[in-house]
Amino acid sequence: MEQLIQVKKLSRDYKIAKRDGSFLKFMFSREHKIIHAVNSIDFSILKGELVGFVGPNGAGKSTTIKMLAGILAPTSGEVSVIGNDPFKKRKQNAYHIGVIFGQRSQLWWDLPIGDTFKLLKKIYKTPDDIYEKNLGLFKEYLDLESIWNQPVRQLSLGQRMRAEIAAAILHNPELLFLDEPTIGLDIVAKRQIREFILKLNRDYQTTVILTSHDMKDIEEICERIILIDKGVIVVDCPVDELKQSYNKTAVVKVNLNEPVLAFDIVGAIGRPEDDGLKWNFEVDKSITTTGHLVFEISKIAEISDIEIKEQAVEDIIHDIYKNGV
Amino acid sequence: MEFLKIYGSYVRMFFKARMEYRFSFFSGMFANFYCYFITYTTFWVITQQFGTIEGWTFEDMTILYGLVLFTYALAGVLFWYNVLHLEQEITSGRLDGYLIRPMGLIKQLVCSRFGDTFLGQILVTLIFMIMAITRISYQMTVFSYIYLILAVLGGVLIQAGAMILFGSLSFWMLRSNALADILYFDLRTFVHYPLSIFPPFIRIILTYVLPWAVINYYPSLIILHKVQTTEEFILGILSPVIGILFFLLSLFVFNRGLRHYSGSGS
Repeated sequence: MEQLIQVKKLSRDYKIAKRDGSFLKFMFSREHKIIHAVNSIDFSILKGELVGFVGPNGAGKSTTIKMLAGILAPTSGEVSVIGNDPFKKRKQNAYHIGVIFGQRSQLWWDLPIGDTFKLLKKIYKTPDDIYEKNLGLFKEYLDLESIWNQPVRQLSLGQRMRAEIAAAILHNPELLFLDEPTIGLDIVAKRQIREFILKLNRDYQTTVILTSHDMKDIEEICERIILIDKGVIVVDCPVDELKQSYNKTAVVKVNLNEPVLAFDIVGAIGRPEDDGLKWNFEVDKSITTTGHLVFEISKIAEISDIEIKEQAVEDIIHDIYKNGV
Repeated sequence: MEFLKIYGSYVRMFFKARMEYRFSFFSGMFANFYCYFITYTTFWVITQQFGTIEGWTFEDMTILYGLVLFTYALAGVLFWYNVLHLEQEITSGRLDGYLIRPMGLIKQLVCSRFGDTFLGQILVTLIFMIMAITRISYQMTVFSYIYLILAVLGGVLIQAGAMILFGSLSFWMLRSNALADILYFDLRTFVHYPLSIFPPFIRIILTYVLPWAVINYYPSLIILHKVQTTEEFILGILSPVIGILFFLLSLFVFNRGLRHYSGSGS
């Protein structure tokens, strides 16, 4: 597989003026505090990969993406995107990438989206046939036909985000950066955008790098997850592997037909409710299975209702944020 | 040229969008026209009352002031909104949006906002300048007309250079526009009048430190046959060259600033 992005020992510092004590000191002192926003990270991404960048606010996700997009210069280390140094060859790099900032619009606010598209076609020197083909595709899959003639300011957030995505990929970029593309959207709009990103990847082998705080986005779109915290990569593995290796517990809730005062089952800790009519078990999956637990319970009392909750990616990541790997 | 075509498309789009707010567009133009119309009228009243300002008649004053306003408005159409006021693009985060496009940053900043409000100033200045030149046409030669065009170009380059220079300061410090207010707008008001009425150090500063006098004062001396020293003659004749140099200097500073911005991010 062709390697699209190569990052070696990449670091990025921010200088921040020290703010201790008096206003005068702050105005005239030249003291700075250095913040290591990204601290010597390594990774590479192959053509066609779907990668989710995850991490708490301020972890260094956006800084990394900005360095890959050529907006920021690295403090040290190497970045190569499709064979270019993105910062030194910013304009060349720009032809190959599409960027969507979920919180910021790229569209011309007072004009219909078609006007912005025409301008982008000129800026990127997109050939007519590719432009026409892409417009056809977007109108069909992103439902742009119905909003084609409305000024952008009249569009709903979901409609606008679909248009933003279309605007970002009009020039057929091989690499797509999506910084929180589904923020604030309803379920229908989220699903439509997820499906379209997957379609792009399927049909054009577009490589996608996505950041999101919605773990559903990551689970449904990404094959690989890179978890960044405090400027370093904490986890870099396939999403399925993350689920398996960190998914150590499950919660089983049962309703019983007769009250039970105590259970003694190896590998499961139970807590009663309603005088023993309802029980919540936390199952340690390294010792036992949910199936075995249910079997053990049914030997003692008849089960009327049962609910099994596996740990979602969101819970796994929350645990990693809190407790480390 | 490729860039001119793209600029043309941006301008067409700008007007299409602006027409959504027709009233605001025309009232903005009118406000500008009216404001500067009053300034020219003031010169007329002063020169009517006192004859001349140190030998400068109403026509002379109109050419002196007209040169500074006309070059300012032409540069303003391109650079005033998003280059001089770069800090707004930085603090709003819009700058990142420009940096992902395959086009130079200054070009994009120029394209992204057409300075429509300056059209009022251009119109009112053209009216007064043409009137003044017609009335002094007896002392205009072919050389004067050619020189006038070159001096306007030089002036536009100095004004544009100033906007780029003061705009790019916001790469190093936020809220750099206060500095532009003092060093560019306020200091430049001196050159609305003939510099010979002020103490000499003001002329020195406005010639060699911040070259605002090169925009209009020295060119006016040449056009109006008021040159008295060799220094004045050289500065006048060289004003288009000084404009080019100042503009190149400002581009250099801008690019250094951009590197600093991307390099330090604070």
